[in-house]
Amino acid sequence: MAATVPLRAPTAAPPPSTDTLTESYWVRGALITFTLLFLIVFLFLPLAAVFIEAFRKGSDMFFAAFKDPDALSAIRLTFLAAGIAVPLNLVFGLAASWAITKFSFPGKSLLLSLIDVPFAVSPVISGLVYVLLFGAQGWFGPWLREHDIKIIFAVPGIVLATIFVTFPFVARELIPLMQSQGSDEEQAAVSLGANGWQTFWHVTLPNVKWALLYGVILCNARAMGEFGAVSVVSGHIRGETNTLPLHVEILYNEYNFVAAFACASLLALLALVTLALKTLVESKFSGSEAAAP
Amino acid sequence: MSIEVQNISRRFGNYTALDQVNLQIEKGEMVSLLGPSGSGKTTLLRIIAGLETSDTGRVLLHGQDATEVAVRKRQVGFVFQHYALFRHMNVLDNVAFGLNVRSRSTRPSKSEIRDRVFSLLKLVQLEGLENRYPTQLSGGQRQRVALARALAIEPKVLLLDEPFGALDAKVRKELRRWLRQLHEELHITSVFVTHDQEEALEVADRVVVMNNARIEQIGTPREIYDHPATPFVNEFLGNVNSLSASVEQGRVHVGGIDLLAPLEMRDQTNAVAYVRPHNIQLARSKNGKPVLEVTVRHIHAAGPTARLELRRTDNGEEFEAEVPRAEEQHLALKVGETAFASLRDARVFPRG
Repeated sequence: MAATVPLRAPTAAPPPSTDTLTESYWVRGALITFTLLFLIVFLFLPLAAVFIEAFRKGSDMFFAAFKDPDALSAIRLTFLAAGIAVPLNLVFGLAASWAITKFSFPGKSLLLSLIDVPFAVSPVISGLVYVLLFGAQGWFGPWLREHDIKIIFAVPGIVLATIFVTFPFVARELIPLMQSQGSDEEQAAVSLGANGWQTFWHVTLPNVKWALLYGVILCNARAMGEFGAVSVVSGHIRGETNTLPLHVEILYNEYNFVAAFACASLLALLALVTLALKTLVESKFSGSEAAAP
Repeated sequence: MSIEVQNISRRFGNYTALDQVNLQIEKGEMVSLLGPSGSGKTTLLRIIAGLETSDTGRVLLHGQDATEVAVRKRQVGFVFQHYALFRHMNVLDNVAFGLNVRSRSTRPSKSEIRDRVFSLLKLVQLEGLENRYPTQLSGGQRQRVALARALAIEPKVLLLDEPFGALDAKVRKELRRWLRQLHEELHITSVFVTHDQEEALEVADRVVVMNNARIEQIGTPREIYDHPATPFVNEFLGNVNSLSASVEQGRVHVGGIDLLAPLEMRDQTNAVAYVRPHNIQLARSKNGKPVLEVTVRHIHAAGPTARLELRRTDNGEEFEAEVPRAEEQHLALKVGETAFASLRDARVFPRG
């Protein structure tokens, strides 16, 4: 998941002079054409297809897809899962980055590697872990059944799986930044009489706010789009445990293409909005970093 | 007594940063902790501030045990080497920070804070820059903002960690004179860490020379410079030649020169004599005096004094002499010629 490392456009450096890069016209032309073709085939075409298919039978049918109670319930569940996972991971990400960058303690590097686990393992495995823990045959299965608590094939399982696959995003954004900033400013704040909360609120948080927002955007995009892990724990109960991506799959398998693509277009739209937000924040983020001493 | 450090020790893993350090600093004094990197000086400063803990020992501030007092309650002004200004706040907010975070009952009113900030900015000669951000200031200006910020909380002691370390030579010199003047105005007990002996000797009332987690010598700049107590202080402070010597029957022999050996060295056999270059006198003939025979290796005559690189004929050791230009011209020594050196103020230590 190298995608979480923010790619910054090299705006500071002037474009290399064409005199020194004397590639022939043909080479340059071929490279540009290839890149464009690749993007068209693998990105623009599928994206366009989603919207074309969604509107194939007119906008009435398109909007009808969202009036279906199952679709509404899927949208609600998606927002619920993201609404719980994102704030939780925001807090977790801040706490973990704070702990890792401002203190030294044994097992710090282990913690740092553990944060990457959800990136390293397949989402399906992440889902399966929860089934093994909380499923009927799982470790806590009997106990949960006794107390009439349902986690797997229910909303809590979906929320848990979503939290698991998205928890590295915020921490991953904050740790490198906070490491490079060091803790001098915090020490200065404390020596000036600030307490822990004041130091965090007035010094640490403003210094990382753009990176934090960037992490939250990525975290949210993943939380809403997650398929694998959620699919394993969901049980695909219509109107109850289907998230939007799962709902799309069900519709598609039922040959209900218009509705499937209509819901998919919603996810695609979400991705586009995320992308726009991300670009906006990135420019702010790199701007504030460039301004830092 | 403003600051009292008692038996402070600190280890980081296998590395000893401070070993049983004791230090007393009078009220209103400006003391410098001088030493090479790794000598423990910054750790000591941070322990006094409370930014670091000690393994053993106590720190007393104004006679009260502050060992267990949290940093934010110690009321010490701390100035960091790399300024540590709050990068998202302008100068005004940076300086006002220590007042703004006070609890409602002890916080001055908004207008009082503003007045205080402006008078501090005047003090550090940064009037009119209150709306700038740290990135819009030069290094010297940033460090003065940091100082104003530390002074805003009316600290009982001011601690400065290599305050000029990140600045270029010219600004450094200006700023340290200015800091000395400021100290004369305010008389806040101050401790600053430096590895630059010139800085320490120029700014401080007293210098604490540190090496290898211990204090080597404490004294006024004059005492430290004129009477270095240990071989380390000799070598660390200013230009010095070390000449190997032998000890025999209570006398120390440096070539043809012999000096009375200090009592504690009577049973040694090897010694080192430290002589500053300007304390070496050269002559063309022995004149019947006990002298050290040398060969002239090189003469640098550009500058107010002439520096002569010399080599001892007895053991080939090289050293340097500094003589006034007039004397150098009078002697008219040439490279390769033999000369005779006599030593003033040679300090003898056992060979370590």
